This record gives sequence, C-alpha cells and structure tokens, in this order.
Amino acid sequence: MKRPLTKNIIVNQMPFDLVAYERAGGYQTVRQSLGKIDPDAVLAAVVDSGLGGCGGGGFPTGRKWQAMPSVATRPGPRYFIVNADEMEPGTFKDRLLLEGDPHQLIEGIILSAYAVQANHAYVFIRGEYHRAIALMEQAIGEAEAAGLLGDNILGSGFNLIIHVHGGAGRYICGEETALLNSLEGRRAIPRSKPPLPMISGLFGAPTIVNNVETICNIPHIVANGAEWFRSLGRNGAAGTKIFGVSGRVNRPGTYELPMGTPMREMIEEHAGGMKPGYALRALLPGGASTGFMLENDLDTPMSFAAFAAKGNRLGTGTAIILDDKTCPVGFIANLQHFFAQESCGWCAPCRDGLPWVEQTLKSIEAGEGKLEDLDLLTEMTDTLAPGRTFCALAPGAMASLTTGLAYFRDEFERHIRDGECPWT
Amino acid sequence: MDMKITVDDQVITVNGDDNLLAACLSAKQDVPYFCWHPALGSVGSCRQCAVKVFQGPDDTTGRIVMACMTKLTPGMRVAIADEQAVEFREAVVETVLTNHPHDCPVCEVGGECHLQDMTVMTGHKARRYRYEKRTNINQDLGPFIRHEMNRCIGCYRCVRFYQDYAGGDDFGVFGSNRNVYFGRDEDGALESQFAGNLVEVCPTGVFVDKPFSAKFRRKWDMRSTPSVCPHCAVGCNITVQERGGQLRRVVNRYNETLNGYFLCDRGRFGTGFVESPARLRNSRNKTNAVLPASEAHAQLADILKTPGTIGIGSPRASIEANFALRQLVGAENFYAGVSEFDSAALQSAVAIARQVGLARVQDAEQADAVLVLGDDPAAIAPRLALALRQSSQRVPSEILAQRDIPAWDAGAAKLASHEVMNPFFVITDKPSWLDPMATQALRRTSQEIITLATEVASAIGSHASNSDIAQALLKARQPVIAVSGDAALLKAAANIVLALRAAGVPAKLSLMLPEANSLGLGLIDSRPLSAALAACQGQNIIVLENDLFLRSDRAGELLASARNVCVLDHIETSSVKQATLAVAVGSFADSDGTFVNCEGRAQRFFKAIFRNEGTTQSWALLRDAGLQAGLDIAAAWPTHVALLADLASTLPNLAVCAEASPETQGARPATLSYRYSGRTAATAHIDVREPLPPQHDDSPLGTTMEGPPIHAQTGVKPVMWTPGWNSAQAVNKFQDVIGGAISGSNEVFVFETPSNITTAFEVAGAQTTDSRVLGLEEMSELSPAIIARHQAGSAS
Repeated sequence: MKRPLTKNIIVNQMPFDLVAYERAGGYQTVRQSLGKIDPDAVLAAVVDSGLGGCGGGGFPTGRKWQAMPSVATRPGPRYFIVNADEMEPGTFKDRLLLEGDPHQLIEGIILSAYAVQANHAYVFIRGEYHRAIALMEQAIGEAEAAGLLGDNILGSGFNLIIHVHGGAGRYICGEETALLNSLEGRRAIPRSKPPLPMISGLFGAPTIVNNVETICNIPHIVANGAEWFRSLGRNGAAGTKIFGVSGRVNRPGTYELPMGTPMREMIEEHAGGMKPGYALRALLPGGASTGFMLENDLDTPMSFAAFAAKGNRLGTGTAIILDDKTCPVGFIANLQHFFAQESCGWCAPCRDGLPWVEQTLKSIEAGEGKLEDLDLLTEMTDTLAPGRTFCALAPGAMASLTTGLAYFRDEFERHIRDGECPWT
Repeated sequence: MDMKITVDDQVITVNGDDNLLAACLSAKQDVPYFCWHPALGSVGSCRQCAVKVFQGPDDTTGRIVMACMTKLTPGMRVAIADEQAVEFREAVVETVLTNHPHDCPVCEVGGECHLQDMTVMTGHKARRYRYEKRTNINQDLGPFIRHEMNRCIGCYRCVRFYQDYAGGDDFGVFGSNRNVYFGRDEDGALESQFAGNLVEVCPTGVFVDKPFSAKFRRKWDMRSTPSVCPHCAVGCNITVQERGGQLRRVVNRYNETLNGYFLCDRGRFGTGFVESPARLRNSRNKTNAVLPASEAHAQLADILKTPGTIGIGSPRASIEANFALRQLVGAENFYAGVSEFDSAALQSAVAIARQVGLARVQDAEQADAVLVLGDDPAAIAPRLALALRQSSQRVPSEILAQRDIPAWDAGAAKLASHEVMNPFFVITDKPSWLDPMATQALRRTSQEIITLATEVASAIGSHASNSDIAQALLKARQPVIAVSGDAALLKAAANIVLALRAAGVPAKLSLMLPEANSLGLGLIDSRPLSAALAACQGQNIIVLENDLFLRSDRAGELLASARNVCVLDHIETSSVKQATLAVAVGSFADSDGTFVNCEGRAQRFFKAIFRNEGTTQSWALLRDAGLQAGLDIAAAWPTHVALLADLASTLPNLAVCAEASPETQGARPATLSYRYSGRTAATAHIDVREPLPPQHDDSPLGTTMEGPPIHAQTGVKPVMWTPGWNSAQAVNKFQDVIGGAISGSNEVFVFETPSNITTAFEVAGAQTTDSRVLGLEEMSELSPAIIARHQAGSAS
C-alpha cells in the first residue's frame, strides 16, 4: 500500500533534514517545475487530481485555486496561506506532518504558491505546537540557505518567502477568514463570505488558504501525475489521507490509508478493534464537529462524497470512539463545553446559545434536567443550524447534539427520569 | 437601480443597491434587527433579521437568510412572516436575552429601548433560561457616559461606531465567547469627542447619558422640541427635551444631509450652560443691584431713545435678535462685534458663498477626494470632521465593484481597504485629528498654506504635473475643499474650487466658520469691533449676547468710552460684568430664532424650555423696549412671523429665513406626548388645580399635549415614534427611504445657486493677527459636564 504522505516519517525520530529529504527524492518537483513548466500546468494537475481540502471541508483544491483572479486582472500582492491551526478535538494528523516531514510541506508550498503566483506564504501554526513551529522554522532556514526559497528561486525568476506565524490559541482561527483576521492583527472572528479570500483575502489581496495535509499532497501529484494520484484511492475517491482513531481501541493513532477505505477496516484492522471489555456504541468520524455514526454505518467508505451522501461530514478523518462504558450525555456535554468556550463571540446565537446548550446538558448530566429541556435542545439544533449562524462553528457543534439526541434519546430521558447519571 | 421584489406576497419597488433589510424597512415592513445601522452598514452578527428567500417560482421550501447581508435580485420572493423565520427570530431574541438583566423599570433606556421593541416584535415573552447570567464589572468612562455592561447583547455597534466610524482607539471589545466585554483597557474618560453617540448607537442601556441620568425623566414625560446646536457653525439638528422648566438632555435630530445620526460631545453635553451657575438669571445695574424685569426694560428703552446708540451684534445670537437690534439702532450704528480677523473672514466668506456656493456636510462625507486647509476641522467643526473621516475611510468604489462587494457590506468593505484609498490631503498649521486618516498630512504656517493653495489652484489651471494635490483633485469626481482661516486663505481655497470647475471637475467648497450664526451675522453686517471703537464718541452701547473681551483686546477701551453699556445676555461674561445695565435674556433653548450655518442653511430653533424669570428672548425684549422708547419700527414686529417678513423686505438676502420652519396649519402640534404624566401631580404640593399650560404664540409648535402629535406633522420631528418603535430607531418609519430624507422635510439655503462668475478671488497676504482659540466654545465651556470632562483629562 502506497503512503506518499508519511513515507519519510519514522516514528520517534527527528524529521529528515534538507540533505536527507533531497536524498529521498525531495524538491525534485521544484527543480523540474519552477520556471520550466507553466504555473497553469501545476494548477491543471491539481484540478485533475481530484484532491479535496483535508481540513474537513473537502472542497476541490484545484477549483479553489482557479477562483483566484489572474495576475493580469488583479496585479499586486497575492498570498498563499497554510492553515496549520489544528485544534479540532481528537485530531492530530497535521501535527504528524509538520513534525514528521516539514520539508514535504515546504515543497508543497513552493509548488502551490508557484501555481497561484503568490510571492508570500504564511504557515499559521497552532500556538501549542511549539515543536512544529521550531521544526518548520529550521526547515525553512535550510531551504532558504539552499536557494529553494527567497528571490529568484533556482534561477526561475520566481520569488517566495515563507513566514511562520504561531497562533494565540483560538479554535476559530481554523476557520480560514478568522485566520486571516488573526494574521492581520485583528480579532479572530470570521469574515462575511462573499467575498471569498481568493477575491479579497489577506490585507484585501487575493489569497488561498489550504490545510497542511492538502498541501503535503501537492509534491506527489506534481511528481507522479493526477492519474497516479486518483489511482491511490478506493471506492471512487482519490489519493491517500491520514486517518486516525482515538478512544478505547487497541491501537489508537493515525494511519495513512487510501481515501475511500471503509471505516470498519480502519477501526478493526488498523486500530486493532475495541479493547477487551468495551463495545463500540458510536463514533464521531472526523472530529468534534461531525455527527455520530453507529455500528451499522461502519462500512461507509471514508470519502467526502460517501459521507455527504449519508448526511454527515468526513471532517478531518480522525474518529473519536464512544464506547458502551462512557455516558453519551456527559460525552456530548463535554463537547459542547469546548464549543461554548471556543465561540468567538461575534454572532449572537452561537455566543449565547452554546453556553445555554452546555448548561442544559450539564444540568441533565447532573440529574437536574427536565423533559422539556430535550425540546429546548432540539430547538437549539435548529437555531444553530447551517446558515443560521455566521460561520460553521455552531452548526459543527450541533452535529453531535442532533445525532446524539436521535441516537441516545433513551439515555437522556433516563438521566432526567432517574435524577442521576446511570454511568456514575 | 430600482427593481421589483415580492415581500409577503406584496410587490414592492426597491433600490437594487440596498440590502434586503434596508429594502424591507424602506417599504415600512417590520423586520427586527440589532447589529445593522444605516450609517454603520451590515455585518451580519446579530442574526436577528432572518427572513426566508425563495429561489424562483417553483421553490416552496425557501432558505433562511439574514436580510441585512442579502443582495437584492429582480423578482426575488421574500417571506418575513414565514413560520420558520418567525420562530428563528424569536429564538435569537430569547438567546441574547439569556444574559440581559430584567432591570427595565430602573433602566434609563426603558421605554425607548430598541431591544424592548425588537423583543415585542418577535413575540418573545417568557424566559426559559434558568442558569446563571454572565455578569461584568462596569467601568468609569468619564463624566459623559455611564457603563452598564450587564445589559449588553453583543451587537458590536458601539465598537463599530467608536473605532471604525469615529476613529477612536481607547475603546474596544475584549474577551471572547459570551465573555465579550465592550469598554476600555482601564477606567477613564472616553477620549473620542463623539463618544456621546454610544448612547444612541447602543440598542439598549449599556451606555447611558450620565448628565441626563442625574435629572432623568422618561422619554414620554419630557417636552421635545426641535432645535439647532448653538456650539459651532455646523448647526447640527438636535432635539431639546425639557420637563418642569429644566433642560433634561439633548439628543440627535436626524437630518440626512447634515448631521445624519450623530452629534459631537460638545453638542450633546455642552447645552448644560443653559442652567449652569454661570447663567445670567436676573437683570442688574452697575451697582450689581437686581432689577425687576420691567425696570430693566425701561432702562433699555431709555438707552434706545438716545440717538446714535451703537448696537453690537453677535455670531452666537439669532438672525432675529441681530436684525432687531440693527433696526432699532439703525444700520449705520450696528456692528457685527467680531474681531478684525473674523470680520475680514466673514466678508470674504459671504462673497465666496455667493459666487462659489457651499458644500453640505453630506458632500464632505461622499467626497472622493478631500483637501483640508488651515485649521483642524475637529477643533472648529467636529461633525464635519467626522463626515470627512468617512470619506477618508471609504474604499474607492471601483475596488468594491471589481470584487462585487456591496457598499453596505461594512465588514468586507473595510477589509478590502489596504490598497489605494481616496486622496485625502490635510494641510494645517497644527497637528490635526484627521492626520492619521490622510493620504498626506503637511504641517505649514498659515502664510505657507495660502501660498500652497494658490499654487494648487494655478497648477490645476495649467494642468501642471508637478503638483500631486492638483493631479489628485483633477482625477476626482466629487472633490471637496474644506477650509478655515483668514480671508486670504478662504479666497485661495475658493480659487481651487473655481479652477477645478473650469477644468470640468464639480468640486465643492466647505467653509468652516467659527460660530453658530457667523454666516447669518455676516449677511447682516460684518464690521469689526475696531470700527465700533472708531465710531464711539461717548454714546450708549448695546451689546447683544456677546463677550467683547473674547473678540478684541481693545474691548475694555470700547466699553470705557461709552456712556452707558447695556449687555443683553443669558450667561455671565466679562462684558456683563462691565455693563452699566445687564439684561437677562433667554438662551437658544428659551427662544425662537434662526441660525445660518456654515453651509448657508437657514435653520429654525424653537422655544424649548418654559421657565419663569429672565428668559424673554432677545428679539422680543428689544422689540418691547423699542415700543416703550417710541420707536415705530418695533411696531412692525408684533409676531415672530411679522419680524421675519420685515427681515425679508429689509434684507432680501435673508428672505429665505422665513421659510425655515413649517407653518402652522390648523391646530399647533403637541410638543408633549399622549403619555405625558403628572401634569397635575407635579405641582400639587403648591396648588391642586392644574396650572395653565405655558402661553407662547411665537412658535408654530404648541405647548401642550393637545393637537396632532408632532411626529405626525411634516417637516421638523423632534421625536420619532410609531407603534412598536419607541427608540431613536423609529426614524426608519419617517424616512422616504432608509438613510434618506425625513418625509416632508424642507431645507432652506441662503445661497441656493452659485453665480456663473468664474473670476478668481484676489488673494492678499494675511493682514490681521489670528488670536482665535480653537475648540473652546464659550457657552459649552460653562456646561458642568464639559467642565467635568476637562477635569477628567485624557487617560493617555
């Protein structure tokens, strides 16, 4: 099984430095592309590859790039930004790529920035990822010293500077427009869309924001072609992806698997199945802002399309398992605590609705709930539905609540009826 | 571009450049909202204005959208009454109210609260939230504003006004999630001179008018009278609210082309002078003995009788008062009572206004290129400075169009602004508030500014490429030149406008004059005090509402050379102290009168306070004394209307002043609301019978709650009220379109059409010394709130 993204990563060892990375074939695409093939050809390869945004949206990367106005129609600065603000609970795939193979990301950035003709790139890294920040800065220094970054890279006439920016620790900065505000020194609140960042982004200039994992795929697409990339996937999906499992499984962790691998295969084979004495009750397939799936959904191929068809989202592809010994109400209350705390405070229903949801769930969990609380929670899932709030944070928070209320209704009612949590 | 859309099965015609919320409100539909403000634009944060929009004729499901963030498309179908949308709007209000205290009965804003109105509009009644509310510690924000953060519903209007609109940087939003906090980083007086607008911008009671708090009455328990701010030549429209003969507060009175929705703090809080300890309460003679009004009037009549009496007018007194004095002493004996510097400036201002015309404040706001010359507009004409700031902050429309960003999308428009901005030049002799907003700020001496302005005018004329300023102005579509200074500079600035017009650019000129009625006085007479001194050979002098010691260092000499000095004023001044006869008269709030502002706009203010002693308005008092003195001319002014008619025939230039007020048709409108309470109870401890209402015939407005409600009349509207709209936001219901003119309003300008003369003005060098003190206006400096604000100083 091919695993291009993690091929250079050796667990518990320092990442490849520039020499080792180049020895493993790194930066060949940069040497062969910059100034030698048209930026549009790089863009076309990405469009053909079917690569989707790995931050959780799954939006086709090539189409995002195409939405940027051409240099001819919009002269002036353009920015390429890597979203490394990985704060989705239960998700740790970008950290692996940042710490495991920083040069792979740099190579991806050079190719991507070349494709969209941006001369400034920013890597916005979650503040707590100290190690990733240090390793990225070191790798960028190596690349600059080797002439792979800076002015007139390898004599190609293309200039690129990569800036590393450590975030100050807000979940909302993972939302691309809030990230832009934060990068500009403004409050980290989302911006209205339209205009999309491709039209009016960082400092008002055309801007692309892509996830770390998305960009790590670019060197491999450019090196091996779109056809090859598509062939990596299963069940109609393209490429590989870093999936992950946390919870009471035998081998929690991350695994690079073909896109479209059925969930069951990941949990039972790669994660080694449930620990003895625990049974799988449900799982959040792609981080805290995806909806619960049950045992009978496990054969769903892990692709953006297959999950959308089920009315759910693949999200970051890193699953959190809810076992039969954990209280689902407490589990959901804990998730809502996170979202209530991370609401940026910009739009009213999210800012004031999520704390209400959290307090209601905690009250139910403490045995102080009322049956009408369940109606209130159901109403809240509607009030905080997509399009009702300013950004996707609150709808993401509601994904687990909506499905949780549907799947665990009995457990909710039992808490209220018995006046206590049956799991404590 | 007009288009038709369907709202709740009704076809309405809307302006396609609006957003859906503004379009619905313009069509007088009720859609609740919090964060949207017509002057601040849309940001989509409160989610309150949700409506359902259907795609095409076959769509039955529809989609909930935020009306304020939705562009209009021809034929779009909108349902405000849609069940889902109604439920969502109620849910949003219920959510934001989870933290809002139930303190309406003790909240100053109760009864004029936008949050109350919107809550009622959505139908939300009972609270289900049963957990702890978020609470905050309030800050001391200085003498103007009291902070009640617990009431905050997080609409972000305050910070958007304070920072984005008014350019303040000492107030902002802190924290995140439901712990957002709107305040300063530490206690201290708000530094912006527009901070008072927070009171009206906040949809509920987070920012409370502090001086008003101390003498608070409910909105419906106060008499509301349309008035004009007396503190500078911009003449912002205000509403004066009174009860029991006491001025309670001043609020903004919307005027589309002038002050819009906002006032400066001097205007809002400066009126405290009207009842400050410095008010001249009684007439008195040179021995400081209090004179009964009748005695004072008789002595004034004696002075009027003596031939050759010199009359000294005032740029802070009304047209009517100045005119009455001029007529009684004779035009040849009447002097403007200003410094030589101001006199020369006024003379050229009048000549320039006739030939070139004057920009409106709204023109400054909409300008795509600005050149500021002379003084800091923020010191001399704050509201105009705020308008100019909007021009400096606006992203050029081509950039917005290129990115398909509608102008109302305030968030996106602001963030698109890192590229080219509209040219904005500030050339002053001292640092200006506008400096940080300028594309170029230059410090020059007054004389250098005149030279530079002259060079710009000639560079425009010759299309010379060596002047950036000339080039930028020539490229603009609607540039504004804003100038303040001496006569030569005003002329030099006018020459720039003339040169631009000759080059086909429809430039406009904004003259920043010093006082509320400077231009009006200039149209009556502009001879300086020095001329009066030259003419004075021991005659009597009557000084009208003017402290000559602020005008000339020879004031003492002038007063000493006169036999009797009669000073009519409503405040204690150095001149009053020197008077042999000081006569107490009414302030602007006690009077009916007209100011001509720096745009040449003739604006009427009406008697707003009814109290007993010493408040006869100057022109009526002069008339009565004139009658007593046997001067026939005074007999021509039995009424205010008659005086204006005499003014029109004597000074045809000022004939338009007669039109500056609605005429009474039938019953005079009520200045008290239907709900005005305590008419009998308030004075029951003195007399259980209801007192007679105040008798006042000179105003077209009534003094009681009888008659049609004043907001229902055309023209001036001191209060806006319509069922369900009790806050200042009710203005929506009285505008032709949102952000447009008040329906039926009538604006009167002295210089309606500029002449076709294109000859440039001759610019001489500065000939008079500039002894002006900018930014300190004598009346507002007596207001306790302003004094306290000075004492609070600046926190930075």
